Amino acid sequence: MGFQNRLYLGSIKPPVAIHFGNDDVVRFMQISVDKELALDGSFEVSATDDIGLKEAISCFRSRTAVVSVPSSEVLLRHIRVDCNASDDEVEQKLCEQNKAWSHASVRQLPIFTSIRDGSNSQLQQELLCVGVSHGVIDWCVSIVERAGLDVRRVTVPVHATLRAFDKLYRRDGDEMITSMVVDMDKKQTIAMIAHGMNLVVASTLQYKSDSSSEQQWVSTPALIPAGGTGSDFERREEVLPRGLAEPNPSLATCGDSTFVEELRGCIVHHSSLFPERAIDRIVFSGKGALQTELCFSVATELGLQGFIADPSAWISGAEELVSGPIWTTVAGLCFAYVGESI
Amino acid sequence: MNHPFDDFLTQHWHDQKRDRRIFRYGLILVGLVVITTFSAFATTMGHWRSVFQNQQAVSAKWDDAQQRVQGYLQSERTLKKKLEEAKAISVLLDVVPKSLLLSELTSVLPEEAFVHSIRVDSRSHTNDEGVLDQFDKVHITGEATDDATVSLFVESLMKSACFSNVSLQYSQQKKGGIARGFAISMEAQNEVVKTLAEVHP
Repeated sequence: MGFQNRLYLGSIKPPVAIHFGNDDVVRFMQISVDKELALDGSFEVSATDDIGLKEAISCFRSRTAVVSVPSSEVLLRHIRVDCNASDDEVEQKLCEQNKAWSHASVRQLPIFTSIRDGSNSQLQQELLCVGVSHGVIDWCVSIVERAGLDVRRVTVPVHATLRAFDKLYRRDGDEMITSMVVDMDKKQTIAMIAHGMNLVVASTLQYKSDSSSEQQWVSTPALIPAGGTGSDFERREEVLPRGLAEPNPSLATCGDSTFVEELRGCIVHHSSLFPERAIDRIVFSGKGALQTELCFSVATELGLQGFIADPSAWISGAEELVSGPIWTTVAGLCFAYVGESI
Repeated sequence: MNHPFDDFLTQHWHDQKRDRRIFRYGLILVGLVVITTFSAFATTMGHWRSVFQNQQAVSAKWDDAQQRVQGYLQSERTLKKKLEEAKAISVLLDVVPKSLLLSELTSVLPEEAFVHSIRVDSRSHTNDEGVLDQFDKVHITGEATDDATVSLFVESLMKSACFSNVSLQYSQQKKGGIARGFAISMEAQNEVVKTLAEVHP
């Protein structure tokens, strides 16, 4: 939030973060920042309940919103192109594999640059392409604006989920930590690998979580008091980093080996790009992460330290209302835009 | 905000949104200016309204006055016309009826005499008291069988109350005949003739 805006308009409220879930549930959250992040409000409303949406939005003081589309509507693709390839060439290459890209708003993230071996060596780059159908964007925007909010940005859960963990990488050397974040949902599961807070690999998985074995989330311990040792807050007396909870080790059996194999495929892809870096930990988020035994077994089979995401640990007043992995994407949206004037 | 995944909305969408927002703010600004201007001139407009009402009232009175003036002028014209008619009638009232003079003349005319012509001249003169006096001078010419008849006629006229200053102008024998032509002048007594007119209307 710029000084100019504060000067002229006083305290500007951060935008309302809105995430459209795959289960047709829209999650709202707004946080404010004074001395620490504090929860202003949060709601879960059905996407088809117009009256409920309006009532929920009327409870927020901000009139602007940032929106995250459903993860099942996101197109993900890693492609390799020449370094001087134009956007049209990239889109043409994407459309060759899936026609849905031709009707999508596409963004590219350069991941890796290499020199292709062979007779004519050429500089190549690997791009992570993310696309969202224009129709899905219009649908989400129309729902939010019909309910009375002004949409300022539309982003994807891949980006928003990772932003929920930015606070884990604020010190020198933190960028060396390699995390695998798995957003589990019954419609779509997405695996992401990040160096520090930078996304390098993202892939949609065939695995669909089974909601029958979901457990009730138990909130994490309270935040450190204001007078506590805040300098090393995520590595305080507890071994666990703040915002991450250990999965339940009981009944640690993995019933779906395909899921593990898909995750291994992602790790192999990452190792091929960055052979010098190993995955340090795996973090589970989304509704499927409520199956803590499954998460523990997957982490154990992959030989990684497993965690369940719980961004509410950074938000005062959120322990009871918005704790647990379900709120990871919404909290990430809040963290990403809480300090910016949009 | 440099991450490529921060926003999937197109720049065109943002431009349209900004244009709509600017238009909305402009509309609100125009509305505010109109309301402010209207409220600022509300008092003046009240004065204008009272002026308009006064103009309406004055206009009604002006129309009423115009109608009254028209009526007055018409009445004045009618009155003037009546006065002229009355004046004309009054002129007629002062004239002695010639029929009475003729009746008086013929009543005293002897059977052996007859009249060729009668001429009446209206004359006026100021009397000793300085009052304008009007009278009719009557001239008659005729023929008679002899001088005695002429004398009888003159005497009869002298005896008549309707005439005064009767004088025989001449009496002479007609050429180639025995009849005598004569001419007599006299003044008509208007007061007497008018009295007769009142007695025998």
